[in-house]
Amino acid sequence: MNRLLCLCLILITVLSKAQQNDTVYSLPQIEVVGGRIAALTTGSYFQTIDTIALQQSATLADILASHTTAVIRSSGPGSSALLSTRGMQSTQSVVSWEGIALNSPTHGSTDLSMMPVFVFDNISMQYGGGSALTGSGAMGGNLLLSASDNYNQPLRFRVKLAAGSFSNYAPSLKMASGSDKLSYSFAIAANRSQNNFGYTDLSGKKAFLRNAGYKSLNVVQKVGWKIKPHHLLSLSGWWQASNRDIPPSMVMFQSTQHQDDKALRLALQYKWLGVKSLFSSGIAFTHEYMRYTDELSQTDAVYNNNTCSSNIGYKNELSASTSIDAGINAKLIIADVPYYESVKKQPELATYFSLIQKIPGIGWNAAINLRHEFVEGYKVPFCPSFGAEGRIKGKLGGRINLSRNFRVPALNDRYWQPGGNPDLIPESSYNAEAGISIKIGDSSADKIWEELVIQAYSAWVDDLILWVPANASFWSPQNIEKLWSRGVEVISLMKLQKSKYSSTLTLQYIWSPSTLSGHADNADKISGKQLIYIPLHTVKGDFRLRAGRYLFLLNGVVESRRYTRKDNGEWLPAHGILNLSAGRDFILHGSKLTFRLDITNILNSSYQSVQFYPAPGITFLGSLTAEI
Amino acid sequence: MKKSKLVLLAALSGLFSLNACQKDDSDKTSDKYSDGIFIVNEGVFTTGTGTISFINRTADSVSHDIFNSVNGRPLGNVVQSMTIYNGKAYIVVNNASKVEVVDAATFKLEATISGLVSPRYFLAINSSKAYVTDWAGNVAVVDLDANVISKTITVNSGPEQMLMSGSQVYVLNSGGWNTDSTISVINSSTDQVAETIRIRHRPTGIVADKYGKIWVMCSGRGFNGWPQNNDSEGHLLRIDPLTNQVEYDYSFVSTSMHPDKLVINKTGDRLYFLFDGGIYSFSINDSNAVPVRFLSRTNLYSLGYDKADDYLYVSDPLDYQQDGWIYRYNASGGNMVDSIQAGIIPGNFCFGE
Repeated sequence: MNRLLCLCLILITVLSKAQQNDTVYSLPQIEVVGGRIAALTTGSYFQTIDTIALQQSATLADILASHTTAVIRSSGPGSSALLSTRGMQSTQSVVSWEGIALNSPTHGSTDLSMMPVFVFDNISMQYGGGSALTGSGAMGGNLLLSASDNYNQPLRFRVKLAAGSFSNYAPSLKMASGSDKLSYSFAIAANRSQNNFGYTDLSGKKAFLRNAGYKSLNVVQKVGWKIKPHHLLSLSGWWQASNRDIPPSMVMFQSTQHQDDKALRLALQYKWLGVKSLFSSGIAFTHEYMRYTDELSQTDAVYNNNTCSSNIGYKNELSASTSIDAGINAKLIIADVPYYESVKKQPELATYFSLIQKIPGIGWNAAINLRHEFVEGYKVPFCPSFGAEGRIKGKLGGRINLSRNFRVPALNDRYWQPGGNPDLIPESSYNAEAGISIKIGDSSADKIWEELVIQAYSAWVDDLILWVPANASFWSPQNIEKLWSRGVEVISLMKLQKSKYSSTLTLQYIWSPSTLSGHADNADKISGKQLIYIPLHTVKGDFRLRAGRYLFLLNGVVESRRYTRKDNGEWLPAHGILNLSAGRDFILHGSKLTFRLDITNILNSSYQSVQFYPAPGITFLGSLTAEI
Repeated sequence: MKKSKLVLLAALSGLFSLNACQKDDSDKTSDKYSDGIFIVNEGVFTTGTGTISFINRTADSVSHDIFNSVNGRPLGNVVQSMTIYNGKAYIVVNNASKVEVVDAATFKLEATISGLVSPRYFLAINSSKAYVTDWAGNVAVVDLDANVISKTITVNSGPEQMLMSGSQVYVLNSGGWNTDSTISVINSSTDQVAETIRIRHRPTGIVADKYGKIWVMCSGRGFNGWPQNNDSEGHLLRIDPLTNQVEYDYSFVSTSMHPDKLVINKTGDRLYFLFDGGIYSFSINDSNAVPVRFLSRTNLYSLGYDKADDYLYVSDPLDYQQDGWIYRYNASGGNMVDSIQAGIIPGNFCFGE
């Protein structure tokens, strides 16, 4: 397998060299990774985070929790925040940046708590199955992060200084510029907080969170170079470092746990652009370091993961109604984990083919995607998907998507000692979803414009991997459960624009039953029970008003009870939080200054996002942003 | 538009509430807990809270989470053990680094002993002094009048169960997160370590027989079901407290199966322990005896013995995330008496003073 992988890496390099001499045509618009996925996931639902939200000094976890239908499971600020989409587990969603999957190869999840939205230009979420396009893990959704290109753009700066409750300081800087040949963007964001907020402990007394401080630094850079009019090269880099104390839960007296993380991610992409074709190839490298220490348990463990990947793809518009997309991805994961017997290597290879077709007569777009992945030690299921979307009648649109998806066990599942299970097979799922959208009014100025989206989904996950006790001493992962996640999402968007006033109101309701079944033990009471920490009902609302230079935002989330035990015998009660932001712009010598105050949890609700981990009450953050 | 705004405001303002973890349990009674068996439920390892269940012998009923019911707050993470002494119950809560002191009959909270790191077991020395083993590598000396730690005695790593024989206290040093193979013998009059006995790997259980001899179960290095090259076999040892010498050493030979959870019957002549997917027994009277399989049952986690009824109590924690089960067996015949649902990870039993 290793030889095969090396061969593919060489082949990709050779092919990309050979392609440069082909005939070229006029330059179409540059396509980012998210764009490719958007085109091929026809029939899937996308949500894009807009720039107003991006201006907040928030993490990805905060933004996704309040602005998308996703659920974030977080133990509090600075603690790990895991993404759950469509009622699935955190390992069943993919987070990717510039096409690189960020999910940890060792545990399969992505921690969003130390990723500030400030450093990303584009944030979008594709819901539902996506394995036919992005491979392992894309069973519930795919979060796409990227930077924009800046060709022919003047030099722009955005400097932001923010400070708030609990000694929270967050300075950040972003700059971007470009000529007709070069595109450049750079963003740096730092954050530190003592995070020592007060809460009511279980005996009703006032307490303050201890051992909870954290700091992080993110540096993101992207350089684009038009070597020739039709030859594009881009290099993206992301350096991320954080260190955090891990606080005790409310039922623990103390914690001496500490975690340091560092990650370097590099992606080099070459594109050759023809009139009706696009050839691309790229290589990427990711290095992740994590050190976990705990004085109490006398633990000092260092984890190192390296991932090299390569891709080659070709897209061709065969006719006005038909285009194809095909390619090969290769990846090699090398993990050095103290709890593995030795350094582990996992080579992976994937081939994919897609057909995008406009259906004559009804005007719908359809896409068929096929993907076959080869992972050493596993028999990965062949993954097809089919999606279609278009106008049903008048302002009523519809879409449908069917897919088969999979998740290869994480390396911990396979190699962790004790307990790792080398006999695991990949999780697999069949996903189906359908939706309609209704547009009322029109989007011209001074008019109410409203869109209503109603969609239903269902995913049947087989061979679900769960860690269960092997005996009294340790746990081991097994393919013992089935998960049936289904639900309905209703999303309403209203806009009103009147002279210098503009407002938007977004309301989202999510009904998300997600139940386990398939356990053999008769005494087990978990079959048919709701998955822990997945609320059955969620309502999210977001109201924004801009009046001249004033900006006002009100955002709220209400979740029904979330079970904390698999047998649903305990739960966290329904809760809600309300956030308020207000700001004002000033123009000074042609530059824009924005003063802004963000108040989180303005009702000072006392709640726990994860059982026995308190969430902060009312929190203030003031910021000054200069855009030059 | 206006209607939509009203809907939003209603949705956002109507459902904000103060929260506390709730449990699907309607036990709000003020039961007396003077005649029965306490089940110590550890709770989910890192995130949950432990509980105490109570089996009332007279009413033949079970009450769950009695500490929370009486005192209005959970015990904490992880409840390790419970000992009743002088009308008070001492509940050792490991990750919460404390010992809760409650009235044994009403379970009303009287005090909280803090200043510990990772406490494991409680042993009363006399009416004013007790020892608590702490994985920090010491034994905390507790002033029972003030319920505070008066001093600590340094022992080896991972001290676990203790046994008092005369004025000597035998402390098993299991190694905690690693492996130790010693017993620290503390003179309870001076609170000094008088002697350290080197024995086999990972001592986990200690009892005294009818002759006053001390039996120690050494589980051996390694985990059940996960054989590794450097694993060692378990041993059952007998120590003469007069000489502190090991005078009997039975080897379980297998390095892949590790015996655990040692108890002794009311006549002090038969040992029981968990081993190889079941309960084994061992007669101390027969000099040629070997452990024999008493009964088979998989997924057992803890073992207790009730002198009052001559019952063996074993627990099955299922998947360690839902309520486990207790199975009661007649210790003489081995027939199952009944089964009782407990809390999450039933890990220990307390049968009174």
